[in-house]
Amino acid sequence: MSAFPTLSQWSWRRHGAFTGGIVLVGLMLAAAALANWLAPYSPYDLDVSKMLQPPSLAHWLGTDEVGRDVLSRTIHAARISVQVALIAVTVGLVGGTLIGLIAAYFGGLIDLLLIRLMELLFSFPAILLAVVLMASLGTSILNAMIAIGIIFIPGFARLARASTMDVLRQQYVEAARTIGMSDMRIMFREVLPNILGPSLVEAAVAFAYAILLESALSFLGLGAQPPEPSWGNMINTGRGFMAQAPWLGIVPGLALFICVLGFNLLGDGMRDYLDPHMKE
Amino acid sequence: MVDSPGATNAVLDIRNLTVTFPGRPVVLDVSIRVEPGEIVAVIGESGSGKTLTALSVLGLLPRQARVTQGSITLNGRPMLEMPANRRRDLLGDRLAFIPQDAMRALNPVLTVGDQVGEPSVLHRSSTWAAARRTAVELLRVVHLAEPEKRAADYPHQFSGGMQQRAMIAMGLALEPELLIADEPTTALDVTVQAQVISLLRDIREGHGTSILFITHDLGLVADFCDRVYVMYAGRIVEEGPVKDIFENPRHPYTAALLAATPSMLDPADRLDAIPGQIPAADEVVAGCIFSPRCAHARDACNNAPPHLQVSRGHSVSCWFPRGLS
Amino acid sequence: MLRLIATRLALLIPTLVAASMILFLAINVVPGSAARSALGVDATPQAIMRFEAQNGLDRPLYVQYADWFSKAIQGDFGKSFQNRVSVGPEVLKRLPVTLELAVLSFLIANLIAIPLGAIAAYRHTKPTDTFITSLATVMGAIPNFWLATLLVLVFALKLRWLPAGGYTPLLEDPLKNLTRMILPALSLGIVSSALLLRIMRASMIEVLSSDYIRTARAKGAPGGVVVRRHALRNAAIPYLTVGAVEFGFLFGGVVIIEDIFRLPGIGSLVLVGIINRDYPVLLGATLVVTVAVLIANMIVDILANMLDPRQVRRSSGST
Repeated sequence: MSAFPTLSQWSWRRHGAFTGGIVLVGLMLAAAALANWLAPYSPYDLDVSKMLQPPSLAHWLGTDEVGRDVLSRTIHAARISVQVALIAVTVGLVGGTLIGLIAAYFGGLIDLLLIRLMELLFSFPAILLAVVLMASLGTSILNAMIAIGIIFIPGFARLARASTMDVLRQQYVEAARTIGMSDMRIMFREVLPNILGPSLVEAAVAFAYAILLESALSFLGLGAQPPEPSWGNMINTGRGFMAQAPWLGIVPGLALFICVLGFNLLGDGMRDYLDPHMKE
Repeated sequence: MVDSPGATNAVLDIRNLTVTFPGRPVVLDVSIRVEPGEIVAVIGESGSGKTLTALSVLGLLPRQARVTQGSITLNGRPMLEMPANRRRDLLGDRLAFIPQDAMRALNPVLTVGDQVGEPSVLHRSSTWAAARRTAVELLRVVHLAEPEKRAADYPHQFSGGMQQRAMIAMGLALEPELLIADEPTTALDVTVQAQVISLLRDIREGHGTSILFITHDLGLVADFCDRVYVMYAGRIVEEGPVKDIFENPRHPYTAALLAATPSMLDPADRLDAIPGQIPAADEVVAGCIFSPRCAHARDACNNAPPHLQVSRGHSVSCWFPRGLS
Repeated sequence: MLRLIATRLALLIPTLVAASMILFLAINVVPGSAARSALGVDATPQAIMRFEAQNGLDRPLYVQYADWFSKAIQGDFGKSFQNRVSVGPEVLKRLPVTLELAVLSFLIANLIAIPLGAIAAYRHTKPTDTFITSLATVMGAIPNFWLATLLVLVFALKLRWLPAGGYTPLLEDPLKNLTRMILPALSLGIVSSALLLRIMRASMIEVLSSDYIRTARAKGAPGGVVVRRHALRNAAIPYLTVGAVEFGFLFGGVVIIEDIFRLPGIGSLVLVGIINRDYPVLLGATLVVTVAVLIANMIVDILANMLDPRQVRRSSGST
């Protein structure tokens, strides 16, 4: 990757979106990591006598249909979303990059087969594939991670393949080959570090999408199961109480929105920054 | 260059034009006149500011450019102060522009006929049907074979020469007072070049259209233009009738240009013969802008920008013009 | 032109076959769940075995697939495990609902994206552009099911202008149909418009910096003419090609939105198939949605091709 500017050269104002992204993402990651300390109550403590209370001093965001604190549940839901997204993106990034790298490096039949397979998988609507995979795997958080990860593989594979093909044209790969470096070593020491850039940008964007997918799955009852709090299933429950307790559906959705926005801004910012430097 | 007072019946009168990009002037104190029926050439290397001068007349400068000084009149109409809609009325009608790369200057999704006929629709309230008929006639005028068929074609189906002729047809459509041609032959091969030049000459004969012809190719200028302005680094360094300039170049740069032209047949002129390069636009030069590269530079040349020396319609911006010192 | 459509269609077939194989595989990754779903959690192992034998679920996968495939190309998509209803006719019955939702959402998305994208591009580097781009970023981050919930809250519960769900066929009562489709279509359309807006903007910015736009201006064409006559069609070509990816998201979203608004479309059928582990239903419904996406992509491809005169045109030759 190209040289980064020093802190003094960096203009925070000009890169407003990136900054915003970092702030929001930081907030979300902090919430996820420190959920146990940040949340005023346990997300599982129910007290039916306190159900459906509007926001108050005791419960900043009110209580849900069984008296649990909405704020605490929202914070803990962040943890679940981030966990799922992290695993899913890692699965997709690692799996996809490997496939793309291998396809482009070895070329020929391997490349043809792999690329066709990836294109095919890519043409499925992501949610459909996720939902179908969940159907057979069974509904749980872990399976959601796997399913979403699988869905991301084609995207990362395509990207890695294109980047690899670019890199293969460079001379240092030829140089490595002539000194007798094995294919494995070339792939991992020469090629891999140079294709990571765009893949990381893609990862940031994928993170946002993973969070959305996880929430969609939970919303449909296919992801985190009650009493685990997930923004998705909280919105779903909230739907039923829209008339009496609108905050139940609004709050988790707002949190979800802010989280997705943050990662999108981060990804956009990274892309804007890295792209001009990469086209050399 | 020439601050001549008095009435002007010039078709184009650019006076002391200065155009700047953020922090640096790219056209400096440029004055150019085109009389009715004249073909005036502006010569210079790429980067000399000739295209920007042309764009200033049209009001189509890039976003960052600013006109900080000067005036431009087209047959008496003040161009720089004119409101945008008034200028739009003139563009394509009284003033036409033929750009350098005809292929990129033509819209790939519209037929050639539609594009050539568009000025009529824009400025003469013509119907499209009538405009297309006009376009066919115009294509005939520029010597395009089978104009009816050609008018229904798309730009990508034309060769480079045909595309340039279509651009000329577009420029001529409403018989403008002034045609600004920006290196119209640079992308063409030699035989086609000759055809385009002869076409332009016919236009001047036939319609009395004045032409501002921008080029870096001296060979073209010699037998086709009436007067020449030589530009270097955004400034006019010499101007005069073609015959005078060619027989008696007063500015060292002009002389070097002429010497560096091996023949009139090589359109891709490069001035490798003159050592050095055009100064970077933000370099501030105290004296004559050409002195760093000038073979005859003396101390005085570096102190102040040279004044104008005028003799019989031939001006030069040099402290020690050739043949006079 | 016809040749183009024919080739595209021909390519579609193998893609569909491959897609069906993948779906079949995905569904059958974990054995046994179908029977348990249909019979309930307390089903005895014998009951499960009987169920599986009855439905041919104990055969090897490739045999099951071949069987399904041979029936499918004749139009027989099997029967639901749950209620023995024929899958094919059920899917057909629900198709118009989903198609209408998709078309409406698509229309809304483009009605927002194209003008705003063009305006943002025209006013590039000015405040209007920044505003529109920020708007697009925000809109793109909104989860469509949350938007749906909010829309229901505002328009159905608070304002009582529109109903919160249900469906009336278009031909029966167009007005009633539209009042029921507008909120779902908005939920999908608004979120989709964000990406499309960006694509249109990028495309238009590129086009507006072209030489031929300068030519148009040099002819004295006013801004509106420049954009409409000269720029738009050129910008549309990459817009269509790149924007086609949005179809995947759109049809994916249909599954959730139909559930929220209780629309009897294919999306909700997919959901039913999942919850009940009803494989024939799931396979049939998912396949149809995939077909829809592929066909939509094909149509857009062809459209982009038609818009560009530089594509295979009978050239009358040049000099």
